[in-house]
Amino acid sequence: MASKAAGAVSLIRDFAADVQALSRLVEEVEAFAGANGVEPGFAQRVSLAIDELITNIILYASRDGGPVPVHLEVHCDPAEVRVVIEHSGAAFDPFVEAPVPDTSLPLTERPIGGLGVFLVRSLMSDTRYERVGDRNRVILTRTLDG
Amino acid sequence: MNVEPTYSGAAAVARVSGRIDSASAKDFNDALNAVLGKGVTALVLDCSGLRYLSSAGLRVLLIAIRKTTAAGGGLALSGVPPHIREVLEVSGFVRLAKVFETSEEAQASLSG
Repeated sequence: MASKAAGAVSLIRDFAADVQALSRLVEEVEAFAGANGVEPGFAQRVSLAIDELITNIILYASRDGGPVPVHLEVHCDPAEVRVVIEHSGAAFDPFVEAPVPDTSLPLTERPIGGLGVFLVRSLMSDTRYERVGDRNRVILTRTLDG
Repeated sequence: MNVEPTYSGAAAVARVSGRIDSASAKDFNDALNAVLGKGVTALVLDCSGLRYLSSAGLRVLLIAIRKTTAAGGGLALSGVPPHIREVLEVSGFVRLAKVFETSEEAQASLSG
């Protein structure tokens, strides 16, 4: 992917993901995006999308309940924020395999949960999944034009 | 994440502040259960100090909406910051709980 425009800045982290570490990282991403000219509304959409996807990785990819090694890249340039999330494990495309919730259901019929991936799709401009060797890679793009 | 309730009989206004994510959703759930445990059926959540809400927080919110509605009352939100309002709209929560500018309007909607 050669979309590195002049002036692009990147935050790259390899970390052992559990909910506490993720909570801190999400705040770091928000601050990083904000410090690089991304408006707060967009910065929070991006950090929320990262939060939802890595939360799912923690919930479903941890075999023993322990932290899951996750690779995260956040690239900011004036036109867009691009996010790459990678982890090893069983192939899982969240954008195909996660059920799409019916957000029009009345209160008594709404299932508890299942909104994470739906929020990601709604808040990002583009969402893609790739299987690379034994790794799952998700690429999110948020354009900053509205 | 912090929840500061003010009680008035079976009604309460709770000021919710900070960040609600996977790490703090259980504390949020415990705090709302403590409020509902005092016999509150009409609950207003003043979200003007809320900085972040993920789907983990929406789960907790849905449970509280169900409990208050089943008890004959309801749950309403006030002062929701724009970026959190977008999350509520996208997820369809604006159809499950009414959202108002002020906690006074929210309280009035539940006392009808």
